[in-house]
Amino acid sequence: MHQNISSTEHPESGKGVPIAPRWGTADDKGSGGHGGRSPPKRSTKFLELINVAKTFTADGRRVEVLEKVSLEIPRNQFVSVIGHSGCGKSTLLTMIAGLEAPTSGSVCFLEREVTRPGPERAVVFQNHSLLPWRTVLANVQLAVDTVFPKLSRKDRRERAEHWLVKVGLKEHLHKYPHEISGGMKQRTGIARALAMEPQVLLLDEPFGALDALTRSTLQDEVLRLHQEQHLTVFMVTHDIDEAVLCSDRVVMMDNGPRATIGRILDITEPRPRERVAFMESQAFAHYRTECLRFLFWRKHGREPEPVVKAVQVQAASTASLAIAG
Amino acid sequence: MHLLERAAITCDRLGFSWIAPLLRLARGDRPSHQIRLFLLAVGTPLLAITAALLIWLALATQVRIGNLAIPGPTAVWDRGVEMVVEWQDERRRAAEHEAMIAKAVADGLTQAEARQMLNFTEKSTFASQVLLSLRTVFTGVFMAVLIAVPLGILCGLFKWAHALSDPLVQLLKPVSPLAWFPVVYIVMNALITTPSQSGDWFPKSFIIAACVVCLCAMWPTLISTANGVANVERDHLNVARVLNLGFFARIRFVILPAALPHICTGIRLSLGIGWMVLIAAEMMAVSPGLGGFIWNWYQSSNETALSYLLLSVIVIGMIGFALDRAMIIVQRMISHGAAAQIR
Ligand SMILES: Nc1ncnc2c1ncn2[C@@H]1O[C@H](COP(=O)(O)OP(=O)(O)O)[C@@H](O)[C@H]1O
Ligand SMILES: [Mg+2]
Repeated sequence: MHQNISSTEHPESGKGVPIAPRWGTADDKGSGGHGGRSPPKRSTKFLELINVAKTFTADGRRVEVLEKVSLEIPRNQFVSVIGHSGCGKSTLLTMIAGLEAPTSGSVCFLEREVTRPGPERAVVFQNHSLLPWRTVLANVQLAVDTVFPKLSRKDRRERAEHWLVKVGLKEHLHKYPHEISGGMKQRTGIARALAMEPQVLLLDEPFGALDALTRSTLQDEVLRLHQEQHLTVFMVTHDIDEAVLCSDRVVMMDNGPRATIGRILDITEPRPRERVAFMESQAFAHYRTECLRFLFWRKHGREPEPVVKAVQVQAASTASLAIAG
Repeated sequence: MHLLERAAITCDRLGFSWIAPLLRLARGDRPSHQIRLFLLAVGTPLLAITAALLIWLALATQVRIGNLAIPGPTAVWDRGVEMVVEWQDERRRAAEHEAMIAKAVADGLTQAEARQMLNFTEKSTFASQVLLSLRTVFTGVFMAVLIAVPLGILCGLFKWAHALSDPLVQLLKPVSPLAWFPVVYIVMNALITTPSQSGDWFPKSFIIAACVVCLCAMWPTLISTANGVANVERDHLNVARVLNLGFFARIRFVILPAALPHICTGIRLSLGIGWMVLIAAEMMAVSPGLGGFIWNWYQSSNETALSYLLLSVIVIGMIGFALDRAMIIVQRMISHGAAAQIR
């Protein structure tokens, strides 16, 4: 379905790779019929990370966090990133957002290098980051007002309310962030991001602090919005089930320092997904195991299997795995 | 929620913790508990004040230093009453004067003519001196805030601004108002060449005292503002960046509201310092404010002088306390959620 971009393999990790791995290079164009559906025009790449590296310098110490991260995300794809904590997932997300610049390599959005943040790449931050001196409505209103200054006052107000109603906060418009629950705060954060009418939604462990019930409700909501608004979603998470349930691709990060993409797992389950049915299916169990195995191996310092293998799963879905740097 | 309970919560939040039990008592919420709370909140300060008064009374009646009699609480109380009576008399005199002018105008004179004929100068009373002092301190602190907040924002936003200003701030911060006074006095004398008139809204002594207050009081606001601005949460700044807010929109919608509690703390400290500095500044400027009042009694050889001086000490203390309380209330009103705990 997604043109096997993810299954591009490159032979070896680390030094000595002559050509940096690039997703969706010219070669891929030929492999059009692969996914069964004729591919959309690939001439413009939607979102692309090219050989991105990031080094922080704090108090004279250099921390090389990420290295040689290359990834292409087509429009409307839902990509999750998992990896051990501290491996640089958030760093990757902030670079896509434009909040941090890569030390080398580049992030390209619609063929143009990302140099600064913008409302077309909205971020939902890990700890909601609502402005505590503004009501729920006023928080969303600020986004609408700054992104759509040309609309009339009334239209802007309606828009802000529209998004809050969409995430189920109709009753809480005039409350302050400290007066609502964690789930509601996160909903407000999502409403604020969506109110910018972004093309890409960047989620940094959006549901990490929530109880399981709230979390699953919000996952369903994000999935619905992804379909409805034709969003491209890039989600950092530490919840494997969440990653498998929501994503078209799960990107697994190596451990830091100098982390890179260890493996990419395609989730070919069609959408809309039936939560319970999918989670009970064998395919789900398979995907889940793959992720777990990867994380286990990474944690215990052993390499995952050195060969690319395609696993046939009963539920008529194929998982293509790739081992990258 | 019940209206009384809501009022009680508001009282608690604003620091009137002694009113809240009364409101809850009126609602019938665990009466004995509320009475205990009320007694605790009101009784302890009352007890302390009573004890202090008793000790003062004992000292005044028992102790003599040479031939100096220490005025007791009753003597000072009498002075207070005297001041109130004086103030009321003056009000009555002013009202009578206005009535006479009205009569003259009714008899066919113009306002200006009538005023010129029936010359009247309001005598300065203790109350008018207190009001003038308050006006001076508010003017001085207002000027301080006008200068310190923008500078503080600059210092909080830009490292270079902080690096440039920090040595100067550290150097000027500890300078006493007594050191500032002559400088301000000479500069203002050169600046303002028209002689000040008694009816002036801004007499020279007022301006000088206000400037000294401003110079001494601006530092806490400056430092607090810079701290508040420099410590705005990274996430909130990132929100501003994702929204592509411009420089001024960022300051208006994110930085100022986030730093507001800090700014308020700074202003509260500034007001406290300003009030302390004011008395010294007024004494030296011979302003007709509280400082002037103290200066006059200090200069007089009247044997009741000490009771007037003690009265002004008490009034200064009470006003300072009231100003601080008022600022705490403002601070609590503008802070949200977790920030509601004010030190
Ligand atoms: N601004 C920064 N300055 C210095 N080091 C940083 C900064 N941000 C992140 N790091 C370091 O980068 C590494 C990755 O951080 P992060 O991307 O937050 O990891 P993750 O989100 O995967 O848990 C961590 O070791 C962290 O200490
Ligand atoms: Mg993180």
